[in-house]
Amino acid sequence: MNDQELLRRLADVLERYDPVPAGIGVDAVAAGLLAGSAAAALVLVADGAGAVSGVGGRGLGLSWPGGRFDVQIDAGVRLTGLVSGLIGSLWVRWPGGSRLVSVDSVGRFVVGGLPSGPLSFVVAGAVGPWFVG
Amino acid sequence: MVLSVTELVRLAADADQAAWRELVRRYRTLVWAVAREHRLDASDAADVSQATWLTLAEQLPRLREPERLAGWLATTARRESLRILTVRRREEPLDWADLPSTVDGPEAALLASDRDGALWRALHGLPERCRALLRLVAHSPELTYAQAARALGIRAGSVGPIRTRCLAVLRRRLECDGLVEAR
Repeated sequence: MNDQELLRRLADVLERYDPVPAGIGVDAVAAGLLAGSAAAALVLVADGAGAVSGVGGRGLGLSWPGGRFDVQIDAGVRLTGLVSGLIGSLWVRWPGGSRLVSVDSVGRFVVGGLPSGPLSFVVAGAVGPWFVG
Repeated sequence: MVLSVTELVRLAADADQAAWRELVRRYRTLVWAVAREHRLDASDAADVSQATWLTLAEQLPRLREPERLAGWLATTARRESLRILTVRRREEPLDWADLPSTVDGPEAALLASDRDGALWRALHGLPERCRALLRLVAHSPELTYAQAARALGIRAGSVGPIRTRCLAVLRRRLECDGLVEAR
């Protein structure tokens, strides 16, 4: 058995013992509906764990030409954030849907009850990257 | 007719869902393998996989080197896997020894005493870096050494020697178990 044959057999064994769950293939195929749909104009400028002291989760900073917002994602899935630009709302989206989130007069927003899995934001028409909380 | 990855990317960027499905079919095991070899559990690995495919879908028209899609996918999945690992470490004290191994879980119960099971066990007896590299090149032989290096966070110059050494160790173990003939 040469190297190529051994690697082919290894690939077969990996498929058998640690297969890609069927749901992942379905979700991946569904993602194709988004093909080329976004300009990805929201830029990730900060990404770290536990940005809020003493709290777990993931902290992100995203910017667009008109401002910046920072958001903390906690298990649950709950988002808390602060926007520096002049906007009254933003969209949070997930593979199967989206929700309009109000931003208060000083730029704060809170949203809970989101599905687990990848999330993304749309602010002032600028679309952000996908990330996992 | 078998389309090249470049042709598939171009078609998928034009909303050809058949082309997109073919891309998913070719590379879903690679994306999954990268997440799993970062020791993510099945749930986090699933989220990383999905985020990787969503990102690709939206980046398709701007993919600069579509012929290098395998490397792009592996690097994107690695980046997201590392971010998740950082978040999880903050959420609870992490003892690397306690991290779930890809050999754990329901699949472990399925391990048979057949040749495939022996190969699986031999693979998991290898050092982590060996296992991760062999898994990557087994799923995506078209990856260049530079792409494999980026996906695993090792030096490109190390990939060839590590691959050769790890395959030799794996083969020796299989020979010792009488599963392949000694060369």
